[in-house]
Amino acid sequence: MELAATSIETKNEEAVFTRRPVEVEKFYYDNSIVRAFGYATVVFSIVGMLAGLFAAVQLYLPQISMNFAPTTFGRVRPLHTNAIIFAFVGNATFAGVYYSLQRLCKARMFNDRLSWIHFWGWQSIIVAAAISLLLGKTTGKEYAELEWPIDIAITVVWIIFGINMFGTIVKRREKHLYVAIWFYIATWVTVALLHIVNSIEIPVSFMKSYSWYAGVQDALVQWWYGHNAVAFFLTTPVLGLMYYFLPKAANRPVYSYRLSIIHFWALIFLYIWAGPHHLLYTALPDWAQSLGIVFSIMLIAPSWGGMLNGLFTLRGAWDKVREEPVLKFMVVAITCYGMATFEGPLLSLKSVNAISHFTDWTIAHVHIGGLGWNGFMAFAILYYMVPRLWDTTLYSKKLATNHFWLGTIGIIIYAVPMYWAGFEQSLMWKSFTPEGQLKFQFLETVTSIKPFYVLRSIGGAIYLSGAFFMVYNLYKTIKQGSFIANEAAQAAPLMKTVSEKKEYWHRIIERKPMTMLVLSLIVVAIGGLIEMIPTFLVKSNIPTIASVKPYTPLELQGRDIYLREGCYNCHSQMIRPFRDEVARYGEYSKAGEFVYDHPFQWGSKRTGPDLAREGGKYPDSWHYNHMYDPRSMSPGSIMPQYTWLLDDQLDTASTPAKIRAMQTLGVPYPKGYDKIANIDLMHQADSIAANLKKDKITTPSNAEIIALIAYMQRIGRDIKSQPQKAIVEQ
Amino acid sequence: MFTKSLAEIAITCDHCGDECIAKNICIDDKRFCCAGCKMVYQLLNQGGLCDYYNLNDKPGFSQRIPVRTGKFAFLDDAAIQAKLISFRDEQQVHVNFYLPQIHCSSCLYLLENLHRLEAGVISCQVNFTRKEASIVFMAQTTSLRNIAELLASIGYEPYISLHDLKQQKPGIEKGMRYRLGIAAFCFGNIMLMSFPEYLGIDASESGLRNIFRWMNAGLSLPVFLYAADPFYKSALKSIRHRFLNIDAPVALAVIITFVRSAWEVLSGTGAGYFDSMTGIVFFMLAGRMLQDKTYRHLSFDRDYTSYFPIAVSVISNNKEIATALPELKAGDTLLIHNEELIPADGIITKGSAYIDYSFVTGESMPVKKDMGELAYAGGKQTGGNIEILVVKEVAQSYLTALWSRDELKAKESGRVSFVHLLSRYFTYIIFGIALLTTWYWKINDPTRIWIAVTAVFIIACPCALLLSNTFTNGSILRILSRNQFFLRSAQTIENIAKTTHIVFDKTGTLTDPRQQEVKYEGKPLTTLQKQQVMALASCSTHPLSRFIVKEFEQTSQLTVAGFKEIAGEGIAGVVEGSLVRIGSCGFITGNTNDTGGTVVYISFENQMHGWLRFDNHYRPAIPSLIKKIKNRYKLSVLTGDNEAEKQKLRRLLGEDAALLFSQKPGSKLDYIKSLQADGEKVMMIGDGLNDAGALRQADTGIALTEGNNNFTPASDAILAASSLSKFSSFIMLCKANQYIVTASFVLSIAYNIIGLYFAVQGKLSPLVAAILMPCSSLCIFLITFGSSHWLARRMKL
Amino acid sequence: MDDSDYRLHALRGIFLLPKIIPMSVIIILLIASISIASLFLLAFLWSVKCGQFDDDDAPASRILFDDKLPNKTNV
Repeated sequence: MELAATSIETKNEEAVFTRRPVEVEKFYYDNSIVRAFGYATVVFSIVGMLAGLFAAVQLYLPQISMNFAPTTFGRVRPLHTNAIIFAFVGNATFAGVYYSLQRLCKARMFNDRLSWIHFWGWQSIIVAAAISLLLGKTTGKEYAELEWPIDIAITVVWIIFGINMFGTIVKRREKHLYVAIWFYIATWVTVALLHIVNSIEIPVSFMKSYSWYAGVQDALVQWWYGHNAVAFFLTTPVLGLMYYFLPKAANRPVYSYRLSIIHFWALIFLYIWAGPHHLLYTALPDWAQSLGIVFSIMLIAPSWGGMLNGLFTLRGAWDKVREEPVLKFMVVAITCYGMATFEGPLLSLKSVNAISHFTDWTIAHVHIGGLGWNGFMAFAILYYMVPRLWDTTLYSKKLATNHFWLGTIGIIIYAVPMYWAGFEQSLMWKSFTPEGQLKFQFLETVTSIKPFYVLRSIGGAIYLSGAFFMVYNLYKTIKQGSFIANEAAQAAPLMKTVSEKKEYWHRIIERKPMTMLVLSLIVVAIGGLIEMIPTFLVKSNIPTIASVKPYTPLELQGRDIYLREGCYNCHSQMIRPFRDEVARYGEYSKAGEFVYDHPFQWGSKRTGPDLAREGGKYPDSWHYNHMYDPRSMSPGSIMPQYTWLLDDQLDTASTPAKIRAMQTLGVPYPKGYDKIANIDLMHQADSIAANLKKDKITTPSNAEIIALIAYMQRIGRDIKSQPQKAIVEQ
Repeated sequence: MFTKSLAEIAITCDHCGDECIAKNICIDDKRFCCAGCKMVYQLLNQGGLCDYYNLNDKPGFSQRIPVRTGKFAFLDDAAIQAKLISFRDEQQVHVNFYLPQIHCSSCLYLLENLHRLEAGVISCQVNFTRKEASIVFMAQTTSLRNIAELLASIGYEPYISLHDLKQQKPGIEKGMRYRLGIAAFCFGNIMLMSFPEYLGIDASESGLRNIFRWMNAGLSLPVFLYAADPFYKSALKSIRHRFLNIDAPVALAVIITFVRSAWEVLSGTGAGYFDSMTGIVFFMLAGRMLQDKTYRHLSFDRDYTSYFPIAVSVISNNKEIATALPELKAGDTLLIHNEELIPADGIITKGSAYIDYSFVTGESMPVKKDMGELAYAGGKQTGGNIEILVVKEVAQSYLTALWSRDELKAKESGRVSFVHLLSRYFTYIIFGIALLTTWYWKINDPTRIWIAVTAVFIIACPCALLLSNTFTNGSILRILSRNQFFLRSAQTIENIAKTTHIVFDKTGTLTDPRQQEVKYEGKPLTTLQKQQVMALASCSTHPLSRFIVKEFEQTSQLTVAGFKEIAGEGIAGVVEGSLVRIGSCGFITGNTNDTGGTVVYISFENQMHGWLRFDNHYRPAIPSLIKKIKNRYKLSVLTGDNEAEKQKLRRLLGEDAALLFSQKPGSKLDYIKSLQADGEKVMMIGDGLNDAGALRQADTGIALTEGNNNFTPASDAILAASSLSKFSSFIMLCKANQYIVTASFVLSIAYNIIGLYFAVQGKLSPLVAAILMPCSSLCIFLITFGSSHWLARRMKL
Repeated sequence: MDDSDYRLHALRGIFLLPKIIPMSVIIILLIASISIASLFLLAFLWSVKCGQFDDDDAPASRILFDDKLPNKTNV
């Protein structure tokens, strides 16, 4: 592939000699890589959305998981999120970047081989991710579920992409770096850092690891990452694409170039710190929560700067929008971006968050962003690029317009019910009878919003059907066109302009002190910290709760099953200090309770009830039966069956390694405990088995269900009663 | 930003959008007004650059007057090349050309694809805001001259003036951007790390708290040492000049805040006020940046060198030699071509000069000069070539000598913004309070002196004043520039506000040089005769002929035979078999009787048929403008012309306006000085070079221009003639400036006092306080920005 | 764990901090974020230095031009 391209290059260099002065270089844009990523985008958009639809349907038809582990909601939902974020949007971004970067830099990509390594690397990561997630190989951290080998692969591929991108920027022929390129750079740098910091985990075995951080700390890092993943994987790159493709599609310069630059710098600074707003009312220190709020509020300004800049670009070109589907998609996308970025800060206000958090409101919010902003932007880019890559026109604007309408209607039918559901359920949770009793059982609140779940899946289906229109339309377009693998272009090489050469000497004098100051400041920031740390350590005291003890081996194994089945996707483990939550679940959660939780399992959504105080609520047999058939215990429940837990045997061989890992992480198991851990494990297992026996349930004590029950019965029992903190009245 | 062309009714040139008088110049479906435009089109067509016409409608410039071949011969002169070329080595040469014609994306497209038209060109990068093209080409393949001629041939004739010899390219203020960037970075992170403190991070996390404090201290260093130094510098300067400007107390406050904060952190007694300090510095820098916004496409201090060519052809033993202007010596003989500027005073030795002094006087009617007469520098020869014997070198010439008059040198001195005065009292008060506090605590509790006094200085920093000033100035400058009124600096706003006496130049300022009121007198003309006259006139490029063509709006296809033009006399030709002659009294009748004013006679078959009287055309905006301002200001009109139009002016300006006629540039200047001597604050509005002295001398010199491309003499402000009608509103806005500043300053003071009141009682949570700090700055910004824009809207600007 | 342990850990590097200081993970995030921010600051200074912001009219419209050759050559 790459060889072919280069040979073409050389061949034409000679041609150049004869035709025009050698100084004006003739070169070729690599369209093949764009095509590849484009195809991947289309494929994974369908896959990711199908997964989403399947998960959505399970919320009112749990039976369709067919009692088969890989198809349960807990495993499909991570697949959906990962497929959409990293496969669909990821590939769309790469396609757009590879297309626009070459043209903005007036240069072919730095190295074709790197491009292809990037492509195939990324696709294999996606496939590996899909398989491992379905097999339940997960770290149990939302949006970072992938296990350590895949994490490493991601890092490698990402760095390759970086080399390729910066290489291209270095060998560019256009002096000015267009604002879109700034967004790409920001994306690359930040995502690299986020991924690495958040993925620090200690491997136990191949495809099994524990997060380095525990409890509150893990939560903070996770949402610092989680939020910035949204910011720098789903927002900044797409903004960059907007700044290239919108002006091109509308054929008019962006409304204000100055604004675009200013809002870029503001955006990247503010985003980094908004993370904690995902943890309001949790055990995170108040000041850290408030920090998140403040920065989230401030985020409105730059976000809307981007939106307005986008919309104003179309000022006076609305006639174009009327007949150009690409622009239609972009307009709605940008509008959705505006809505989402306005709603986000709103949701980060404590009072709003108290209602919205853990409900489907959040789901609606992210899907405005996902379906509207990212999805539509990706579609627009595909509709723009494909005809140009194949040197033809779009097969049918009519089809594209239909796609647009289906998509838009889909979004509405999806979002509205979700908002409604979230709001209604939250109010039901918080309503009390005059006697001061909780008005509704949790299950009632779930069954009452089932209709909305049905509507939502319909909305999703409509949106998906639109995507099929696109597939057909693009297929036809490609058929009628002829692909330009290497698109010829010419530009003069970039040469040092004299102004720099000349001013260099007196400039360096002016620059030196400043550069030194900047460097010195970085040194002060980092070096100073490292120095100071030991001194602070002595002063510092740990507010651990004496009664909080490490998990027993069996509980630890049970917890890993809890992770494997992705229970955190529907069950939170974080009781906020609200009257209703305390009444419903028990004593609110304390920071000290989670010091041994690698990773934390606070969750972000309560499709099922909170489990932070599950321990001891029900007899072992209840859990056994509930796992076998949830509806037998709680009629109307939408939880899938987990029958295989009853049959599958617990893999006790892994216990020592897990104990050792935990010790490395500072969990105070006695020295050499890993050797004897399994003995304790069997003891506890037998006792539970015996316990079940009393209730006429015979099960081998090495069944996975035993471990899970052990864990369930343990959750939240360490602290009996803590001094009551003032409960926030609603 | 880019020009839109209006839809014309008449057929217009597809290249430049001018009306096509001759209908037969066209290629396939494209029509052109002249051969020049057509040639450009063909050139681009070959180069495959016809997107030029798709990007914008009719983006070109009329090529009716072709650039004289050999005009750029002087670019072959090594000495001149050396001055213009910014870099050269064996194969490549870099040169920056100023192309005033750059105005739209088409220009950008065409110029950056220059290499498609000329093999030798390697690259051409356009700086749109500065209307500059930096071109790299190969020395072997092509030459500087070729490049210049290529550009000229596609309608982007490089403007190369004597000024370029000085090699002083205005570099963009980068230091300011560095400072702003660093301040923003540090401020942002410090704010971030101050929040935990405000948000009540508790003692159990003292470790964290200290880390935050130390990092803040570290981050504040670059701001304190680097970003804030403009304030220290100007403070020092002001103190050296024994005059306390606003930066002095600001700098003091910044330093004290830093020292106090550093001390708090070091001693572990507190978090300090790093966030406030860096924040203030950041906002003040932002304000400065806003205010010092420069219009790179305009130049406010053009002296004659920007007008004069870089070289002329000197004739020595019958050879033309391109000579750089400074090399001219008295006694040289210059060859001046059509449309060329006379660079030095000299005596006409050959050919009949017909000199257009519009550059100098704003009077577009060319003046006839015969052999042996003295021609002043600055005039533009129209018609045939002439030769001139230099009597005075360029620098000593009549006009250019104006610049060497030393009273013009010392101008900037003694202008003090009211802000500085305000801040001065302010500072005295602060010191007073500081002293009192010291004294008070000395008695009560000496240990607290240091804290109390520093607190006073930190709180009483007049940065609010500085902010409101810079922000207001900034937004007003923007509003004005949006209305095509560009001020040299913020100081100009105040000078305009202070004005008591407005002096107008007549020609080219009150009157519109591009238009004339044409009145026909004599035997009535038949349509055919009109067509004949029109056909003949359209053959000539003389301004009067143009006015005639405009006047007789006939669509004539008549062809002219044996057309001939006698420069300074008239034109003649056979149209429809009859000899038509248009020209001066002498040319038509033979006997020269000057009836004053400009009159052109017409004859058919040598029979005098009638005459056209040309009168100055006053700008339509003037009467209403004068009516608005005449009661509020003393008015004067200065003109080089005779008293012919005295009555007209009297009617226009009212009884008490001073009208001075036949003024020489020097006397204009002296008049301004005499007014200033009587304590008047004078605003001079003029256009020509002859006003330059007066413009420089006046407290506010405003140069009127027909468009940004035209060249304006040194001035404090440049006003587009099209916005003359809004001028009174501009003045109003400038007056408002001071009130807005004071108001927002008072507001912010009140804001601070109230804030303090609650703060000292501990009724203000630290978080609120922390949020209020940047908010106060933002409020100032919003107030100033909002109110100035609100006013502007009310004044319909 | 007793005091001496903490110091030991501390010297082993900041990644053990989460075990020792409550919320000390924030320090890691701080270092990460601020070093990134500094990177961007340097990028900004660089871009000012090499005149990226000198002309803020041209770039916006420059991207609209196709740099396709007059005679489009497909390979």
